[in-house]
Amino acid sequence: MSDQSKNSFHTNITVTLPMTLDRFWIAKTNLLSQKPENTLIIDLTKTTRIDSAGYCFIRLLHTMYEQAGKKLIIRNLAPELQEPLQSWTTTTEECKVQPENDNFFVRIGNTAISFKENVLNALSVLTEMIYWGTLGLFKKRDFKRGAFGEQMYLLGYKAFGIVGLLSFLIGIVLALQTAMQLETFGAGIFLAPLIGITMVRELGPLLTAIILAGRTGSATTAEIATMVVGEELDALQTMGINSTQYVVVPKFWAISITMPILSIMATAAGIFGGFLITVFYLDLSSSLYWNELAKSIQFRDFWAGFVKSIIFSWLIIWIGSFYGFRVRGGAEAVGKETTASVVTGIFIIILADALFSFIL
Amino acid sequence: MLKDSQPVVEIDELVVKYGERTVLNNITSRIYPSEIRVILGTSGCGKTTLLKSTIGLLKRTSGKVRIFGTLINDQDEPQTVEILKKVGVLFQNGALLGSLTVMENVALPLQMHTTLPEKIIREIVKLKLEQVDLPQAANLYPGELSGGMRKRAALARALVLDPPLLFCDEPSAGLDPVTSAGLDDLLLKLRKTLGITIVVVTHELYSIEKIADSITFLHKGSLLFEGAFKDAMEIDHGPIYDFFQRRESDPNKHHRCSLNFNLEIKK
Repeated sequence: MSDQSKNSFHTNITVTLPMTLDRFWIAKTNLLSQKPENTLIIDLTKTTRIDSAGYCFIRLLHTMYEQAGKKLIIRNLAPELQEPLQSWTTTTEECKVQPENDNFFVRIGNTAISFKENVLNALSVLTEMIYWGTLGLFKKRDFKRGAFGEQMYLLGYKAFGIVGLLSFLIGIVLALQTAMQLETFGAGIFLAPLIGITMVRELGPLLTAIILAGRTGSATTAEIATMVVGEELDALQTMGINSTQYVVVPKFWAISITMPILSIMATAAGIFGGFLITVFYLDLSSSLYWNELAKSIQFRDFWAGFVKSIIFSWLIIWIGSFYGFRVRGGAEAVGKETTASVVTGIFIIILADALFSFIL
Repeated sequence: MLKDSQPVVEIDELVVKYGERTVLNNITSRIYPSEIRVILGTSGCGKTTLLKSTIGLLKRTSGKVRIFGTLINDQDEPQTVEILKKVGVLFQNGALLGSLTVMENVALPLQMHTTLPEKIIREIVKLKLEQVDLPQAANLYPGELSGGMRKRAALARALVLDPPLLFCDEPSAGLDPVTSAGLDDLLLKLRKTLGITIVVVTHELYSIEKIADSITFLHKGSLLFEGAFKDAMEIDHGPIYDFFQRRESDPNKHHRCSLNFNLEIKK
């Protein structure tokens, strides 16, 4: 391919380049990685065709030798290849990129500023959602007829099966694990209040919220983000349609109503799971289970579960919409925001649940 | 056209910045009733930004915009919403709502802003789809349409409230010459039959020659020329001349050589 000959008198190196100087040949040569120490003569006697990689290769070689104060001689270039070699120059003006300031304090400052912006944006999404979902409804109603029912169906009815099944299974697992421990102390009957209170106060609303954060939260973010990317929200605005009211408000009301219902259903399914374990594993009578359950659960517990499920539902829609409206860019950004929405959603819900444990 | 009458759109000292970068620099412009105004300039000169900041979709750094004499500020202000109902906007890629059929998309503004019975709404939608030559697509979703069909459906939606003012962002971009000529004819027909004012952002020379009454020429974010199309054609130098002559302003741009090769040419 290339033959190198060293002339010790003139300390010149001559390299004969191949007939086709292309990316395949350049990928194999090590000329660019050698330090320029002598004058290099590249002989193009054989060369009849040069591709883009070839021209760039010669240019780089030239720059390399020039910077090292050595000479690069291009010998026997075919006349028709001269014009492209001299005119296909890359621009000398490099893109001016703002140098990243690595100063520790600057970075902290920037993080604080972007955090502040995010918090303000999130609060603005929240106030828009609450305003256009309540007082704004008296001013105008920018959603399609039937949008609310449709969202109830999608967010609530469609989640019925998965929420019920998972809660039932969790109820069984929880009951089984506890029953084994309680049985050793002969305290199996306490299973009923334990399952009851845990499901009503904690797991019913929490499980529903986590499933809906994955289901509804992600769907909300993806839907809004796709609309932002496709200029659909801009189109709505130019039609004089409020985008929050069109997209978010039907979901807001639908989830506010379906979430407590789903949560009650999840609680019931979990309690039923506990009932099966009590009757078939602990061999206690069913009436005993229900009696103990009724005695232990108070109105306060129902109230706590109900309030939680409503607050969780608002958190899901709020976080879902916030990440949706925030998207900038294309398809990749939609995926990124959706992931962030689900992760943040679940995190905030568990955090809120922990706070509620102290308050309610 | 009707320069003595009150302008439909008044833009005063409009400045738009993205961060540090100035995209539009001090633009003052007037658009008069029943004219077809073409906003043109090379790619990246701020045409779409001008259109979007005029209708309030982009935040303005400074400057004022009035449409039909009303100040356009916040999108949610009642008077802005009222004005926007009189403005049709055709976006570059159509911006149809993906979850609705063409019929539902076109019907949306009517359902939101009128109390017309559903029967009439369907009839109006059919009429508009007929006008844009798209009656067969009523029950298809935007994802099932070709680029040209999507644009025509979006045009039907922009026209469904019979707006006296229509903004079109690159209506013929990415369309074949036949479809694009069809769109131009349609715009001319609309102006003739309904007398609407049309603002078109484009850089398709053929289209400009066919439809433009007057032009607004932007160059690197500044307004270089505003006036009748025929006056613009008489300019014999500078970026406007280059634009209409399809000439690169610096023909040697790609032929500068900064390297001095030690070259020996084969004999």
